[in-house]
Amino acid sequence: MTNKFGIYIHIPFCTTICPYCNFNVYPQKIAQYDVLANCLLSELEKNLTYFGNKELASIHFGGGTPSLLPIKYMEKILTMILKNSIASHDCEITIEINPYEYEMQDVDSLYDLGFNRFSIGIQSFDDVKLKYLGRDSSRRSNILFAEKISNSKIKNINFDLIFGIQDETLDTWERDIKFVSNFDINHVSTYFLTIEESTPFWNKKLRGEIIDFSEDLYIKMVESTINILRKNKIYRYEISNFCRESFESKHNMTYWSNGSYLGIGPGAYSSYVDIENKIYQRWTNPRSPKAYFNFLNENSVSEDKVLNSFDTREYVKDSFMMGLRLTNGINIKQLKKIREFSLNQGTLDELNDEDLILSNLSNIKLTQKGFNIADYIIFKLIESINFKVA
Amino acid sequence: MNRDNIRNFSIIAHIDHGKSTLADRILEITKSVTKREMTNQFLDNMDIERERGITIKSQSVRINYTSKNNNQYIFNLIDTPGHVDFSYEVSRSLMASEGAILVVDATQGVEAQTLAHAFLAADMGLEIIPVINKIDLPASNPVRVCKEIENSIGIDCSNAILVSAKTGEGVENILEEIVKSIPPPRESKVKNLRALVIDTWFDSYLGVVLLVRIFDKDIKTGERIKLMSTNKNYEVRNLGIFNPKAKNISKLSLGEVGFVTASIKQISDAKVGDTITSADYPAKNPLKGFKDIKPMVFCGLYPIDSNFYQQLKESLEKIALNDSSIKYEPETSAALGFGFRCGFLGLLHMEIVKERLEREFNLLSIATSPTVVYEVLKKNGEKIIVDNPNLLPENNQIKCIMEPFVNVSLHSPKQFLGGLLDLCESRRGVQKNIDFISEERLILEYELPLSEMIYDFYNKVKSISKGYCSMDYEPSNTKESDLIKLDILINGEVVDALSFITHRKNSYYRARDITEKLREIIPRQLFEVAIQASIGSKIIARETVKALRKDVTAKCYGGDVTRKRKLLEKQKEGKKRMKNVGNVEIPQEAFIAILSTKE
Ligand SMILES: Nc1nc2c(ncn2[C@@H]2O[C@H](COP(=O)(O)OP(=O)(O)OP(=O)(O)O)[C@@H](O)[C@H]2O)c(=O)[nH]1
Ligand SMILES: C[S@@+](CC[C@H](N)C(=O)[O-])C[C@H]1O[C@@H](n2cnc3c(N)ncnc32)[C@H](O)[C@@H]1O
Ligand code: SF4
Repeated sequence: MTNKFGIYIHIPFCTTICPYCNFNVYPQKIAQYDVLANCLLSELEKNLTYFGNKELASIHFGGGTPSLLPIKYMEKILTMILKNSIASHDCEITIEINPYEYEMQDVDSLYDLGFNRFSIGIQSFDDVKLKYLGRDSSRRSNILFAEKISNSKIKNINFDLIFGIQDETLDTWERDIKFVSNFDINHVSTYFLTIEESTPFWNKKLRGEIIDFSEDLYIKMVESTINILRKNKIYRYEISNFCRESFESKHNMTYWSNGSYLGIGPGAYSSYVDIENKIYQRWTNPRSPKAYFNFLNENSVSEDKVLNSFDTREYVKDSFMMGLRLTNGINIKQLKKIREFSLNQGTLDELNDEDLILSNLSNIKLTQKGFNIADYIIFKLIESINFKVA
Repeated sequence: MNRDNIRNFSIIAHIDHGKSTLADRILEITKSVTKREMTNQFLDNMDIERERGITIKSQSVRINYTSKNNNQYIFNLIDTPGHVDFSYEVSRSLMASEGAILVVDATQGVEAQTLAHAFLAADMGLEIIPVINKIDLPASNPVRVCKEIENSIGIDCSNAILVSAKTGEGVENILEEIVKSIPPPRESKVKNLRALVIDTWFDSYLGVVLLVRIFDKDIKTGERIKLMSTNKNYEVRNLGIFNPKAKNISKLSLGEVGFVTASIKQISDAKVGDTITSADYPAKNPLKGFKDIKPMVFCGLYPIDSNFYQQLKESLEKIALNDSSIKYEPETSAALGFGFRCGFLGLLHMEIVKERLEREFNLLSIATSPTVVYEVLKKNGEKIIVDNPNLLPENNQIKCIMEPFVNVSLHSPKQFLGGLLDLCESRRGVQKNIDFISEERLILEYELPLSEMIYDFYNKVKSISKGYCSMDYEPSNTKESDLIKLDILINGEVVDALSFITHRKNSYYRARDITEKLREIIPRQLFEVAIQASIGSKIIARETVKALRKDVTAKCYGGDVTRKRKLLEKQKEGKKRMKNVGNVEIPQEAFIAILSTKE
């Protein structure tokens, strides 16, 4: 894994900002795509060499709404990447798409450009839910879009769905998840709605208009999701992600297996892992587009970024944090090669006894029951790591 | 220096009326400290004191003063603390003084400790100089305040000195008044040395230090001395004064105040209130000392991490070196392991010690619910002292339980009377007196159990009166009460550290209150946690903390690593403050929750 890397490109604009969203996004009306594109290009040119010894496994255009970036810039960016890196023959090139009217015509040209995976922000096929979520789409437009894309040449498709909105019933959610089988897709992400700080929904919660979602209902909804999708041969491989066999998102797998990735664009995160030389670095770009533009124009190269170097202990802990989200869990043996450690047997026994994890000498993974309280368990396990003095 | 030219005095005031500020100003005006040295409040020397703005350790300063008519004087200013927990310390300083400067805030007027301290000074026959402070403030009303002093204390205020300790205005007049009206130290008819020990502490360079006031004869370096309470002899090593920095001298004469170090090894050998005399020519009788003050509030102190027991022990030892009023003894708790039963003068004292442990010694500790000292008469005629609820004998062995009572005086604007009466009545109080000291302010006196007073009483007083009511208390006596022990059970097991003794009448209410609070404080765990309160085997309240069912972040990508890592760190910090009781994790606050009531 460590001789590969992924590239993430952040396009931080959306036509309207959804009331639950706290990604690094801004209204499209302040967007200057030409300036942004130039910055992205110069950033790529500068930073790609740093990853020169690694093979490029994936490119992910995310946002925001990345398809709003005019296609000519898209082309330049892809050309730049392919010219300055060694892309693997099956390099996954994903773009996130909102199923809105104006996106329709783009899909084909994006495909022609080389995009081979499309992640569609369907969110729901229920008009009440979509309205509540403040989306610019409807059941009808979502169906039209879903039909069109799944009937196209494109084979590698993901739908994002949200569940757990105020007053949602098990039935509503099951209908959403069942509806997915009408389309020929191989990846589904189901996100439990998180009420994020500094969003309109957060304020609603403060005012008492949103109350904590029933935990029992959450558990039932997750069980239904697993069962319904399984019938469709779509299986859970991460807490919120499901796919047909071997259609895991390569790009996201890089995150969860704590691999290397280069983040380009405002607020993008990067991670560089070189196990052999014990290098583990993370850095962040300035968050607002303006700060990001200035930062690149001042030509202050990478010094201005928040660059953090960590030791192998942090690497192991982060690998637990991300890796235990996968149904396959983490490979203890491999991690121990990087840094010797032991785990508190009492903690392991307790979690095993409670049927929350399955562990043996080489592997730890969470059970379905365990995933419901993954944060709690992961914290416990990280707490129980005992590092040998180097 | 001629005895006639010495003046020993204290400044007494209600908390925050400006005692420390005035002391600073006096030091500055008499050039005892330079402006540059003058960090604010020179005499408040411990960090915590500066933060809380209170003086804990009294300290004496020698000041050289040249009066208007050009005579040289030595002033010994003895700083006194000003909080209810510590009012006994005031008497120590007063005993070494011939006069007292009574500082009253011109915007606040007479308050509980103004009165308590003024009466103490008057009882000891001290000359009192009334000083009205903070006249620079627009809200000041010296005329009203003077009237209050005359009405409540009964001292003439026609010559009260109006000052602003902040700007220094009027402070010079105090110095002149000290010369004029405070008498010099009395003449001595005794030929043998007698010196009163006002304070003791441990200094890492000098060892045990005694602050003394010479009442008879004098004391010299090298002299052999005797401490009269123990009859032990020592040799004087150093003598000195604070000017305000420590300065060695070879002799302390009649009437002077200064410090003594001798070959004393143990701080416990040097008792505050003891009399020093000459080993070779001992005096017949000691000076009238102070009452040996006893801790009134007890609690268990345990290290959160049991590996730190030894460190806790050493830290308590160090604290006790400078604080002779704290008592501690090893004890064990089934829930918390090895720790100490500690005695304090009051709740504030307890909090300060806890805070010092954390701040100076980097030690996280858990304090169990504070308790007073009960006297239990058993049916077999045996009488035992109980300072730990878990040592209370079985119910069927108890004939009766006696608990300590205190007289509380509350000084308040009259509009809060109703609320204060309700509070005192609900705390099993018996009203003793109501007195108006002016049209606006009154003094309310109640006798109530000390146990009721340590249980969130002062906070309640402050909130009822919006902070306008002040309070003082003194022990009265012990009386029989209908008391029971309330146990808290977590998942069926009694947590001994949470047990407390309460009046039967209040038990149901307290039981409900505490179980509810614990439900909110105890984090959810993998299993359901039952919280129960019981008297003996009878359960009288129950709450449950539901098992953790869902705790998972829906989305987690690259950037979230940083975010999650921070969260993890925070959780880890919180975890440090948790104690495992059985298999339940209980946060530190749970042990404190017992103390506070719902609003
Ligand atoms: N405006 C004004 N403020 C004053 C004056 N004297 C003191 N203060 C302020 O009143 C507050 C309390 O003063 P302190 O000198 O700390 O009072 P204290 O009586 O020593 O209080 P403790 O040390 O806590 O017992 C401080 O904020 C002082 O700055 C004054 O003459 N005028
Ligand atoms: C990177 S976002 C952006 C994709 C695209 N802009 C869109 O909204 O359709 C990917 C997905 O995160 C999910 N998401 C966004 N905010 C969320 C929230 N507060 N709680 C749960 N899921 C959320 C949505 O399902 C969204 O499709
Ligand atoms: S479209 Fe997606 S990225 Fe944009 S605001 Fe909505 S949720 Fe956020």
